[in-house]
Amino acid sequence: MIYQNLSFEQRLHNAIGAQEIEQVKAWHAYTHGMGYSKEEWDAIWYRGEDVTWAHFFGRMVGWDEVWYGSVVNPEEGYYERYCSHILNYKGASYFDARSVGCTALHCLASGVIEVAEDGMTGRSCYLTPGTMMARMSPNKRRNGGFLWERYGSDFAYDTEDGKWYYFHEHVCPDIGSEYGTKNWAMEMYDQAVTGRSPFGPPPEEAEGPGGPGEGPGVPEGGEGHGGAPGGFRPKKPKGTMGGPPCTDPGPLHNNASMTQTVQNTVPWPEPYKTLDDQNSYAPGHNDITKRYSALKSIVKGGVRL
Amino acid sequence: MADANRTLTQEEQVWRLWDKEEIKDLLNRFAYYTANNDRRRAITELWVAGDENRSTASLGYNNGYYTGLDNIIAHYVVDAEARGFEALSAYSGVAQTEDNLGYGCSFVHTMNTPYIEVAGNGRTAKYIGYDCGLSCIGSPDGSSDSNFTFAKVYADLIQEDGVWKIWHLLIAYDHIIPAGISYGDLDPEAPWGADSVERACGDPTVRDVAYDALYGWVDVWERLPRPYYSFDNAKAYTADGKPACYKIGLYK
Repeated sequence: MIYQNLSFEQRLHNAIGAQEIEQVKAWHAYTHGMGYSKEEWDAIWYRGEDVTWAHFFGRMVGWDEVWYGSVVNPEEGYYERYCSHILNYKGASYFDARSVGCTALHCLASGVIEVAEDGMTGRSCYLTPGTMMARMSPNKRRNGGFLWERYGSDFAYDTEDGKWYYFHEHVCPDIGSEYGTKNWAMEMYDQAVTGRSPFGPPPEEAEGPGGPGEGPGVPEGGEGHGGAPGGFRPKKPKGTMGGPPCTDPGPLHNNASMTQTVQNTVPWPEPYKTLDDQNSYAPGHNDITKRYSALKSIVKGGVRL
Repeated sequence: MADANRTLTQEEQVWRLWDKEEIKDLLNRFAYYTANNDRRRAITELWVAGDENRSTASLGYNNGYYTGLDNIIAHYVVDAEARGFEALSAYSGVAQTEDNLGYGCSFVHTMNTPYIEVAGNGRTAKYIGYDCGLSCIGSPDGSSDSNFTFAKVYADLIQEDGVWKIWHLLIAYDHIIPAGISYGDLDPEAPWGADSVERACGDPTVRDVAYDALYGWVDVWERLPRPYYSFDNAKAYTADGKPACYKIGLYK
């Protein structure tokens, strides 16, 4: 049986690892919620060629692709939102451009965590009943939305600094609507009848979710709704299903619908010996030794110590 | 400083593991006790008891802080009981007793997404969690004042006789969304006190902007727990630990 022959020291290491994985997940939730992409990704992600981040639209592979898609790509949306806020709310300009107006949280619930027998990796699966809300918005109305997703995550232990880092993440959005008066069941029925998909329209149509950041959907290539006030937005590289470019294109998960059957895209982890294709949320990308020797931290100060 | 950089022994590592699990339990119990209206029990079992800690205890909301455990009890227990009896008085056929407090009401609090740092000296800890809840007050005519509530919960914990206790608590409401009403129809800049949940936070001992929900999470980067060695009052979840973002021009 797995774990049976572990020494006390190994069990302690793994127990601490499981708790640290909870901490890393929570750090992600709060820093993502406040729009601090650089600080989030810099503090808690492994640097390596097999690092991946996946959503319904595809899987980004390698640290550079993940950094571009998760930090550079969505940050534009945060500043665009800030431009809107300072026009609509007189006090907004006193505050941090990225976090002002943010109150969304991908809450973490029902976590299942396993640390490998070899102590070098860990895996977690969470349900996230997310709160996608804001009191400030470009149309000066409150937004009271929810977004329920699932997370399948793999983590790597860094023997150099004794910390645990994200290695793989697979986000599976299931359903989103609004608290208050929305009839989300009727919405799904209408979508089934009209054929409109709630997530990820083709790139030539209106832009969908802005990648792994909160990214409000905005049109490109001109002024108008959502564009920077009085400004022109250049076209950004996109993946085949919208969102940032991905080495492994989607679809990797489907939204809830009237006809969608149960999906087990990110099964909860079982006890395991080592990260491999049978125990991974990114099969084929499991080599934690393929790591970069580049700067461990890009953002100095203020990150997780 | 040598202590601050010391590597923990294995036994100490085990205690740190245990500490974090105990702290999660503590805040989760607080959520249950509050939802069950077991408020006196929450104070007795979960909050600080020592004289010095009682005098420096704090319970904060968006609009300020109740300081000292006596003021916390007056608000969290006594005032809440008074509101409960006021709501109960609408039910003329129901005995107006403590056992029936909460008749027609439902309050739910959850604590999710915990992030905890235990001090290097092991005596205190800092916590952030998120409370997705419900606040429902029914009336005999079938109407109700029902809301989805969403709040960040910050806490300073301290050990008393080897048991973790709540010392400072800050419940920072992000959103209170009425059921059956489009949230978008509410005034985004409505002043504090616009709904029953906010009014239930009362008039704190120290009135202050502890959290301004309109501008969102501009406070979280400063307030997020970080590794630390010993308790620092300037970073406490109290009126003394006001983050810099609320000291600038808008709030001067």
